Parts: sequence; C-alpha cells; structure tokens
Amino acid sequence: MSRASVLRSPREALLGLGPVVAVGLPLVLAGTLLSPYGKFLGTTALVLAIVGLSLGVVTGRTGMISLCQMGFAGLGAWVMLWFATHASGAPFLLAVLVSGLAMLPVSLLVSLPALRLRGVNLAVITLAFALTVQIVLSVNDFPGNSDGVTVTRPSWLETDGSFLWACAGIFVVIAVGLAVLDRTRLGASWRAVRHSERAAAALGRSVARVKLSSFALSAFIAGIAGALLAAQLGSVEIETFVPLTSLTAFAIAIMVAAQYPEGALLAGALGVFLPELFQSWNIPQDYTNLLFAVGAIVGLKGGLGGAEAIRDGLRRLIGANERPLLLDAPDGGAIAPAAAVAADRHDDPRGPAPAKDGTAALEIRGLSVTYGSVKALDDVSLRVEPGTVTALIGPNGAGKSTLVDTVTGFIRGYSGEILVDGHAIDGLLAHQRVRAGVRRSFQQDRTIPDLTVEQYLRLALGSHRGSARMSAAELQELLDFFDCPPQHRRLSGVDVASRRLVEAAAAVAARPSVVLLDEPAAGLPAAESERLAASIAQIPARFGPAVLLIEHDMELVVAAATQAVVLDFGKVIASGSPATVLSDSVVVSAYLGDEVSV
Amino acid sequence: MIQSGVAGLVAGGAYAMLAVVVVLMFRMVRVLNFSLAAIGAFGTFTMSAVYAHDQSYLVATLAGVGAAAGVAALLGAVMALWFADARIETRSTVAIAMLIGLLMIGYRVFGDQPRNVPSLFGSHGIKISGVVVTHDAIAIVVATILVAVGLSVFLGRTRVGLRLRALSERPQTAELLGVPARWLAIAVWAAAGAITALGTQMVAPTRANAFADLSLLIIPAFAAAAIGLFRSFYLALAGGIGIGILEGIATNYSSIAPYQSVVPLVVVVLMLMWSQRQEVWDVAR
Amino acid sequence: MSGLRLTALCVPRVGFTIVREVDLHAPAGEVTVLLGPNGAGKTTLLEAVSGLIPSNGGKIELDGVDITRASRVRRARAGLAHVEQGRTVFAELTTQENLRVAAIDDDAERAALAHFPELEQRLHVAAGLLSGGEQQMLVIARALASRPSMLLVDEASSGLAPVIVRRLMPVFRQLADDGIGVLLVEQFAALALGIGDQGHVLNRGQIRLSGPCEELAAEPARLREAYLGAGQALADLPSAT
Repeated sequence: MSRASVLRSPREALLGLGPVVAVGLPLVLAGTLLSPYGKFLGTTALVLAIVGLSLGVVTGRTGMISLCQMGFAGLGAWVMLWFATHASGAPFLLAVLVSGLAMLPVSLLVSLPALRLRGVNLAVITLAFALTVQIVLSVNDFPGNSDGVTVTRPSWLETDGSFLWACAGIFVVIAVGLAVLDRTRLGASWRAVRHSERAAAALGRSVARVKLSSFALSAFIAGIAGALLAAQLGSVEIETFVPLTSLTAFAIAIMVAAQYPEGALLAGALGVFLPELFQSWNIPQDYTNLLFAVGAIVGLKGGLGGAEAIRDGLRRLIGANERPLLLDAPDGGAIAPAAAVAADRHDDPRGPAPAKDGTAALEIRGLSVTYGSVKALDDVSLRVEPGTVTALIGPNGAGKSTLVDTVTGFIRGYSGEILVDGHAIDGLLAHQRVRAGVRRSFQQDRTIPDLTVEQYLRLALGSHRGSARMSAAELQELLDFFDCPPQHRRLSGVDVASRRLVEAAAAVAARPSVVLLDEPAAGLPAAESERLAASIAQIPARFGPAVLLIEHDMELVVAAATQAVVLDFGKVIASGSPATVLSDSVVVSAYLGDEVSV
Repeated sequence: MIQSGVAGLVAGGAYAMLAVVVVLMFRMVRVLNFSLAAIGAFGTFTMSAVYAHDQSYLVATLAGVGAAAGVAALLGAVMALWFADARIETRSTVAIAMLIGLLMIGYRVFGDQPRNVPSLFGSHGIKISGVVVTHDAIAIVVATILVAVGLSVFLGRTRVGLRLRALSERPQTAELLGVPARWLAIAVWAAAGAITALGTQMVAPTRANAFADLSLLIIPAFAAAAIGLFRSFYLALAGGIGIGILEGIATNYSSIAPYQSVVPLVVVVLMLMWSQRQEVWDVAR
Repeated sequence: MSGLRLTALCVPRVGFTIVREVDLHAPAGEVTVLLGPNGAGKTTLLEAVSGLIPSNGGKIELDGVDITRASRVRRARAGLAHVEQGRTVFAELTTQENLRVAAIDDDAERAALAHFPELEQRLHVAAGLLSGGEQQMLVIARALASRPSMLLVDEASSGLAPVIVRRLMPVFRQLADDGIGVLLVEQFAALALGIGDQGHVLNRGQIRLSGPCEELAAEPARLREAYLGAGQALADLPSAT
C-alpha cells in the first residue's frame, strides 16, 4: 500500500508551486505592465509580503504570537537610513543585508523572555516591545530625516520597474530559503514546537534554541523588509511602524496563513491593492481593516488560514490527501498472528547477544516522586535488560506515566537514580536525555501534523551517535516494518491510529539504548494492535533498543513482552514473566479489586 | 517631584481600572482582551456625542456606558458561540482582530480627531501640604478602588460570582453542573465593557484622546495587570496607580522623560519573567 | 421509559470511532455497572451522554426525552449529572462552595451532604486541600446537589485505597434504592458488581458481555476473559477483518 504513493510526491511539489505562481504572476505582471503608480504599489505589496514571510516563521511555523514585526521593520529602516546618512558609499545590497543582520541581537530582547513566557504572556511582551520601538524611534527620529537625507538607490535600481523586480527577487530568495529550511531539521523543529514543546524535546530538540532561532530569523527578514521600504520611499515615518500596524500585520498573517509563500504574497496584495480597489469603488479605504478583522476571526474559527484552506482544497482535488488508510486492512495471509510471531522470536538467530557485562539498558534505582502530599512513585527500582521488551503495567493512577515523564526528563525534582547503559542521566534536560539514548512516545498523539511522515522521522533521527544519515532504503524498511503510511504523506492527513505507528517508528529510528512506549496501542482496533504487538516484540532484534512498554492491553503485553513489572500506588508489587505476573493474585486484585478470588 | 507624581494619578487610576477589568476577563472568561480599551473608547465617544447634544453629564455617561456594554456583549457572544472551547491563545488572537475591527468602526463613526470629553470637576482640586490633587484624580482613584473591592466581593460572596469562579477553574465541569456558561460569559463581557467605559471616560479629558489613543491604553493596562500576574485585582490596582505615578515622576528627568512610557514596560517584562520562573513545559502532561 | 437509554450510539474521538453502536439501558432505581479495561471506550461513552463530546450516530434518551442534540447545560437541567474521572473538584473553592455551585437550594445541599457526613467538618476547607477520598465524596455530593434523576459516575475508585472504595459503593446502592438511576463505570469489578443490578463489559468500543451483576460476579473466569482479554479471550473476539 505504500509504493504507489511515492509517485505522489511530484504532485505535492506541484501543489506547492501552483499557488505561488497563481498569486505572484499577476502581481509581477501588474508591476511590469501598469503605470509607475502600479509599479510603486506592487513594490509595497512585495515588501509587505516579506513582512508576511517573517510572521510566517515566528507565528505560522513556530506558533508564537508576535505583535512587533513592524517594529523590527522600523529598526531595519533605521539602519538603512543610517547607512544613507553616515556611509552612503556602502554597496546597496550589503546595506540591506546589514539592516537585517542588525536585527539578530535586537531579537534577543524579545526571544530571551520567550524562553520562559509563552502564549498570551509572550504576546504582551512583544506588544510592549513594539511600543518601546515606537517611543525610541519617535524620540530619536530616523537618521537624516531632519536634514532631508534620503536613501538613494544605485543606478541599476533607480527606476520603479527595476526596483520592483529586485524586491520580487529578494522575496523569492527568502521564500526559497525558507522552503529549503523547511526540509531541514531546524525547519521541522519550528513546526514541532508550534504543535507541542514536549514533543519537540522528546525528539531531541532544544526548545530554547528552536525559539531563539525562529525569532532571530523572523526579525532578520522583517529588518530587510524595513530596509527595502526605506529604499523604496527614500525616507520613512514612524507612523508606519507603530504597534497598530504590527497588530494588523499579525491579523492579516493569521487570515492568509503567511507560512506559505502564496499566503505571504496574498497578505502583501491584500494590504496594498485592496485599499486601492476600495477607493476606486468609492468605498473608504479603511474598510479593509474591518475585512481583515473579520477574515482573521473566520480563519481562526475554521482553524485554517487562507493559503492553508486553498492548499487543503487543492489536495483534496488532486487526491493527495485520501484519509482512511488503516481500515483497508490486510487480507490475512501476509501477516502472521501476533502470538505466533512473538513465539517465533525466541528462536530468532538474529537476536542480540545478551549483555556481556550485565549493564542494563535502563536502570532505575530508588525513584520517588512526590506531588504535594501524594507519593506518585515510591522507591521504584527496575531494570530493562538489553535486547528485551519489558512491560510496565498497573491500574489507572498507579504512576506509570509519571515514571515515563521522570525517566525522560519532563519531571524535575525526584529522588533516586536513572542510568542508561550504566551512565547516570539525572543531571540532563529532556532533549539531552534523548541524545543520551532514551526515547519515548506519548500516550496522546503528539506527532507533528504539519510534517510528512519522512520529515517527522528525519527530525526524530537527530544528529547524535552518527545516526543522522539514514538511506532511503533503510527509512522505507523501517516504515514497512511498522506498517506506517507512505512517507510523503502529511501527518495531518493520516488517521490517529497510523500516527501512533509513525510515532513508534520515530522513537526507534535513531536506534537509542532504550525506548519507552507509553500505551502505543491506545485507540488501535484489534487487528492493528495485534500487529503492533508483533512489531514491538521484534524491535530489540531488528533495531537494537530495549523496550519499556507501558500498556493496559494485556493481550498486547503477553504478545510483545518477555518481562513485566506491575506498579500499584507508586510501588512495584510484582515482576517476572507476563504470564506469571498476570496470574499473581496480588496483580489480579490490583486490577479487579480486592475481593475477586480468581 | 511629588507634584509630578500626583499629576500621574489620573492616568494611573485609569490604567488601574482597566487593569482590574483585564484581570477579571483573564480569570473569568479566559481571554487577554486586546480590544478592551477600544470598547471603552467607543463608550467614551458615545458619551461625548450625547453630551454635545445638550444632555446632562449623567445621561451622557449612562449612554456611553450602555453603548460600551452593548458592543462588549456582542463581541462576547461571538467568543462564546464560536470559540467556547478554544485555547486562551486563540481567544486572545480573536480579541486582537476585534481591536482592529473596532478601531476601523470607531474611526468611521467618530473620526480620528480628539473629542471634547467633559470632565466631571474641571481643574478644581484640593491642596494638601502644597501639593494639588485634582478632584478628577481623587474621583478616578476612588472609583477604581470601589471597582476592585466590588468585584472581589461580588466574586467572593454572591452565587453568580461563585458560579463564575467555578467556570473559570473548570468550564466543562461547571457546565455539567448546569451553570449556563455562555450567558455568564456574555454578561462578564458586558460588565467589563461598562466599567472600562467609565475608566476611559474619566481619563479622556486629561490626555490625547483620539479613538486610537484611547484604544492603546490597553498596553499600560496589560502592564499593570501583569504586575498582578493576571490574577490579583489589588496588585493590578496598585500596579496601575504605580505606573501612573512612575510616568509622572519620569517627566521630571529630562534624560528619561521622553521614554516615560517605556519604564513600566521594563517592569512588566521583569515581573512576567519572575512569575513564570518555574514553568518549564507548555502543557502539564 | 424512565432512566437512560442509548440506542446504537456511536462516538468518535480525534477522528476515530471509539464507541460503536452501543445499546444500553440504565433504568431509574437501579445501579447499572459498566466494566471494561482502559481504552475500552467507557469514558468516551459517558462524555457523549453528558454532552462533553458529540456523538455521530444513534440516540440518547433520558426519561423518554431525546437529548441527543441538547447542550451540556440543558442535559444537566434535564436531570443528568456526570461525575467525571479524576476528582474534578473546583480546587480553589471551599467544600461548601463546591456544593453551592450545583445546589438548587439549601435542602438539596443538605441532602447531598447527608450521604457523606465526613465532609461536614471540612465545609470551609479549600477543596484542593482535601484528601483523595474526600475529594471523590465531594464530587459525588456535588452532583447530587443538583437533584439529578440519573447519575453517571466515571471510575470513582481510580487511585483510591480499597477501604475508601468500600465506603463509596454502598452510597450508590442507597441512591438507587431512593429512586435515582446510577450508571457506574468501573475498572475495579468486584466491589461494583457487589452493589449493582445489571452489569455490562465494554471492550474495544462494544458491549461484550451483559448479565445480572450476581451472575457476572459468580463467573470470574468469564469476566476475566472479557476483561483482561488474555488467553482464551483472544479466540472469542470477532476478527476485525
């Protein structure tokens, strides 16, 4: 079921290009064919589109509310005018570039607080920064404004037409640059953080670094937009960069989904041509703002910005999005029953040799976690031997998820020791523990919907232990092993059950020492969970990592695990082989209640 | 020095009143309401227009407060119907869009020029050991304190207040117990609009009061609310008045006077970072 | 037609059908026990009944009135009370305030408290500071304060010591004897079956086993099969293909 889909990737590529052409071409044509005024407007639209791209990075991709992008643009314009006043001999493009680069340190003023603050608190900070920029710029004014010095463009950019093309060129360079970044782990990390910071950390990414880079790049792009605006107009006024324009830019970006280049272009076009259009219809220009406000609210309600909705529609049109994957289930035959596979594996000659020196893949010593007066974990010790699947079971509220969170670094302040391959990892942060060889999946679906299956897996691969390179064949083998959907499919178009399989595959991909799977079968239909059990049983032999399997589904435990540890009220109450443990009366009473005598 | 600090009292009182309402909305209807001051401006300009038609101060005030409450209720209904279960970030983003829409409508209806907003007491004041405190300053500070105390008592002592607190903590559970979440939310919006209109109306005579200027009062109000960590009415109150006084004092120093509005923003950043020092992850689990 | 009746109810969750065509009748004056392992769809079922999440097929009737499309608040006013999983007290409100949020009058508040005299001394303590058992009593009392005709209880025993669970179960029996319908969702089978009338086992979104609670309790092997699903149960499950 996976092969045919590979052919679909050019279609996806077409999908990306189509809308850009559809929006961009009329814009450029308008600029070339129309009057000088038309060209002037086209240039402004492109500059605003670049601001849109900057919001596409910080808000569209990374999910942080930034209400100060026009503030960055204003500071960029300031630097450009500084060049005009104090270093008029500097090459034009260099001055534009430096105007953008100068925003990198400035962005720290906003992004450093962003390490601690998120959501609406961050929005307040960015708005405060926008107001600060306004005040600072109105007190100090732009360089040269008082003496009538303006930015002079070099001769090759003197005409409106040539400058329009230059702006179009810069837009394309930035848009292409972002598209390239989107395929890197950094680009994927932004979208991971947008969806879930925990997921990003569990994939081995430092959330702090991801946020800093996102703000820095978006400030850089906005600074360039400001410099271009200064170059277009010769001089600028503070009114262009007040908090209100930042707020409007933000609303438009939400409305059009500016993380897509056609969305950003649309933002620029709407911001410039719509008011013109209104004027030609004798409607007051400012009615456009009402339109933006309503548009943003409608976009938020639907959960999709303009460009996103268009792409979604197109995808449906060309059939790159068909959803039900899971239910066209196997026709028997091909896949052996879980129990049979699980039984087979003990004779598998490819199985890993038992650890020579007796070092556990994961060892927990005397782990205790206290919430207020409740002991969530009480002196828990357990070992996961290399090459084994160990199940961690227990009733609701027994402390299983707390254990996973603690081992993987999401709960600080515990007592006890956690060792991976014999090395203590207690001092490490969540993303550092990933690099030390502990991977996890989440109980709730925390895959990143904006990524394709392949991008998600490559993000998970990370760069540690020399595992960054994974050949296409290896990747395909991994996907086939877990019955994952085709690698070019976006996860948002994949059903939840299949996402769980992708998440499990991603946890294994980097071949860590130990993988903690937190209820991987939750929500899977019977046939799927049996197949998953068979896959999990083979993980150590096929890919190397030992597995700690947290699971409620006892069939799955019996089929997949060789060892089981039972947790109840934060304490280990039994351990041994799954069959023994499940018939233990203590365990049965932990599940069924005290008074059943089975 | 003391005189200039006192001169900041009117502004401080308005910041404080808005900040208290920001806290109210943040806690009770889960939104950081960027459009709040614009709603207040709507009321203030209505008041000014009605006053210009030879109505009494009281009638004009009632009209303004009513208009603001109506606009707020309308926006609250949009929020309650479309974004009831949405995250606070989404709801606050909606409020940003509402601000932009309101600014446009305000500009259309009232123009972009400052208005003559009548002051209750004019420039009269009382002199305390050489320092003049205007009646307006006293009025707005007293009114703000009454609002903060009133809201505390309302939330703490009444059945509706109790249900609101339940709703703010666990909206779904409260609904399961029969608490009419939508209607209560709309009522909170309306009340918030009314109180804010009072605050902006009282500060409008003393400063640049074009529609957009009044709408941006939301920034110092957020600053003050942040000092109360978006939770405490009384800290927000103190924060607002403190910011007003700080701005007033800053006018005394020529080197920082131009940046007087930046001072409170720095305070806010520090407060927010301190308050969030332990939060590490975006969600609890 | 008193009590709660579900007909062919289907409930999706994040794009996946979790509860499939479930028929269930929980009559007034009886304790109906719904058992099943984690992930079986018990909580999803209750949430659809009380309106927390939408259903996408079938019918929900309370005392003969179709409430399939009613809002959460209207369902509550129609007589439904849902005690959610995880002891959802309003932590910053006192015990008494928690009750008052739901109480239709002082009598209802007193009547609810009468089932849990332990709470009397804790009336003015913030609910967040109560012990787990007290919190569970409080959420049940709070639900009762709205004088429901049908009480849905999701895993009242979760995370509580057995001694507390033994304290809670008779209350449900008493409520049913007083005429209220109780739908008890449980992971702990034994105690619930001990006080229940009819029992059902939900596994993977469908009812796998039904019968009088006495009979279910008397056949622990069958129960364990339907429940833990290990061993013989594998063969009993219909194939998904």
